[in-house]
Amino acid sequence: MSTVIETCQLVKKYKLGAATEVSALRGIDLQVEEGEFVAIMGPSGSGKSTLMNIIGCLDVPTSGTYRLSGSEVSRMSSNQLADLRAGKIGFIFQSFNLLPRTTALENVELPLNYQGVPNARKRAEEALEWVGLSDRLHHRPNELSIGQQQRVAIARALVTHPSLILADEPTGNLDTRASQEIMSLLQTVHRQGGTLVLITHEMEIGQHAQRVVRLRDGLLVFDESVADPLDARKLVAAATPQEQTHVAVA
Amino acid sequence: MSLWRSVQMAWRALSHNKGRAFLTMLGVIIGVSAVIMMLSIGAGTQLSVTSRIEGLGTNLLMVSPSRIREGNIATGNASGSLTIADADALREVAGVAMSVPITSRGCQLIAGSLNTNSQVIGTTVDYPATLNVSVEQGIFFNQNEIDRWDKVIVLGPTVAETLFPDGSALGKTVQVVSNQTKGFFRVIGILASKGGSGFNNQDDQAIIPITTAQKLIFGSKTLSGIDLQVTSSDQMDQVTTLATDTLRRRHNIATGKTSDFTILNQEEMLGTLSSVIGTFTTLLAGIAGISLLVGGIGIMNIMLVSVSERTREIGLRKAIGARSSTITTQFLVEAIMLSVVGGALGIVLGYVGSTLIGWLGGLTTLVDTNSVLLGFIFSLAVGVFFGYYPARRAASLNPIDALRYE
Ligand SMILES: Nc1ncnc2c1ncn2[C@@H]1O[C@H](COP(=O)(O)OP(=O)(O)OP(=O)(O)O)[C@@H](O)[C@H]1O
Ligand SMILES: [Mg+2]
Repeated sequence: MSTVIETCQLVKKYKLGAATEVSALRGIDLQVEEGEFVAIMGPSGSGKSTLMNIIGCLDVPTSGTYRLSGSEVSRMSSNQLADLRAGKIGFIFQSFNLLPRTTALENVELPLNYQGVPNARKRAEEALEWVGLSDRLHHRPNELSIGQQQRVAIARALVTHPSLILADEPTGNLDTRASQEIMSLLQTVHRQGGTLVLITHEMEIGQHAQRVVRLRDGLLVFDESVADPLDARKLVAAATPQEQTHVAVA
Repeated sequence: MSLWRSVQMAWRALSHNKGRAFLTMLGVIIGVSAVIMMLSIGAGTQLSVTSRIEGLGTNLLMVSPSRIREGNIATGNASGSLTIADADALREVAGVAMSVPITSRGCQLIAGSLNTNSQVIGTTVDYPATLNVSVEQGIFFNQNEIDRWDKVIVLGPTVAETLFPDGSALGKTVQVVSNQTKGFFRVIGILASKGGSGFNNQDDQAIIPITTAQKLIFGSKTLSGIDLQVTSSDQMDQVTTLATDTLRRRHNIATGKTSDFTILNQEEMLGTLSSVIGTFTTLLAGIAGISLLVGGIGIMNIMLVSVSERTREIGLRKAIGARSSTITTQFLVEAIMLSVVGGALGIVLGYVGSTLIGWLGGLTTLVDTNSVLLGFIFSLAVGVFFGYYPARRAASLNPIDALRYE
């Protein structure tokens, strides 16, 4: 198995004005192997998003090195980084994931268009079908529920078959049931061999991963595998009959 | 990312806020249509002047008085330098077929309750042949009438139509009022139309014997010019030289001094007028071009607003793999679309506008392909020029900052 993420003494400082500096990351060493499902947890302000943005090639560290699938990222040009984001990385954010006024299908097509891949439309349709939204292809984001919007975001993250999927609190705005559906999708991706890094501050969501990493004040303070991950499929299945009876009664 | 996709995206972004897009385009629409209208007036004037000068007749030389200049100071009387005796002398020059003295004034013509302000020309019997005009009804005056200072008048078709709408002009009396005096004239002929329009219309004039004009109406012996018809076109240069010598001798102009008259042939007249009209047109189109520039600034302004409104969208696009160049293209295509659609609408409006000017304003207008092309290329250039800065600004946004933008 090959290493997907390898960071060494990653430091990120933000300048606030002339004199003050905030150290968001203070020396992170993290390795993620291909096929792993890692949850990054930690209190608010501990540097989780900062770390994820660097891993996702959206930002560059102040010092330290980051190798993505063996190649050093800090030496790449902005075009190379853009191509990495288009082809190798799939992003899911907490909110504002989709372009407004643009249909689900077009949103999912977008990274393929940026890569210049042929038959983008067909692949986008397949990805949307995979997340269970084949009947919502031509809906715009404001015509979809938040949970459906997140599923479109997942379809878009997966459509390029990326080697790394990054999700920054994808369930942050969702209720329990919608969260379970999202987690179930992510676990399926993982079972099919995908490498995932997920940020969450919810204990239960973290327990769906294989491995939990904990940050505090920009340092990695805890790194352990999860003994018995929760299976979101079972939780969804357990919830479904109830709702069906509920619908039947109504 | 294909260009076609960018065009589709730009179209969607713009049609989302149609009102704003239209207002933004308005600057370009007005600018381009103004340029087209100004150029069409220029081209139309050029055309009508050219055809009028060509219509004057072939092998024509025009002698006109000019001020004598010593250094930069004009001395001598401009209109005093040519006389009927000069015209008679020029008739003797080898190669001159006809020599026609001309004196003209703007006068009021009155018939009953109707009146018009037209150019009244005093001249001799050779005028119709030299200047290529023909009499449609009645006759032109003859030498006897000139010798007797008869008060007879030949009307241009426009004048006849204005004063006698029922077409009964021939044989009627017309009162001619100059700034000196007035007199009653009998209408003996009506000229055929030359189809002119606008100022200095050849249909809008009246012709009387030169003697009558000088002695009874204008109260002055000076000429506005002498028109020469040359026997054949290859003698034009030679006749010009001989005529110049003759007149200089008659006017006692010492060698080395400037003549108090000028002799122009048709080509020179065309050249002079064309360059004046050209300068005029350039000036007008330049002023119109400034409004196009202002329209471009409007586009830049709206594109900058649009970039900051869509900062998060730009961040998201970059996060999922858009290169900076893709973002640049996207915003540039939007700006170009605004200006090109505006330019196309402006061309249509300019075309309609110049047709209306032609109808209502009585001016000849001509929209030629070059001015349409110019308007289009200009609006395209405006889009590229004023869209580039906002597009670069969008592309240079850091994806993280853009995503976090509130
Ligand atoms: N652009 C920035 N400028 C200045 N400081 C920043 C910036 N981004 C993040 N920080 C600081 O870096 C630290 C880490 O922020 P980060 O967003 O990574 O936290 P987080 O762990 O994701 O928190 P949360 O769970 O609330 O999302 C915080 O103290 C924050 O104030
Ligand atoms: Mg965060």
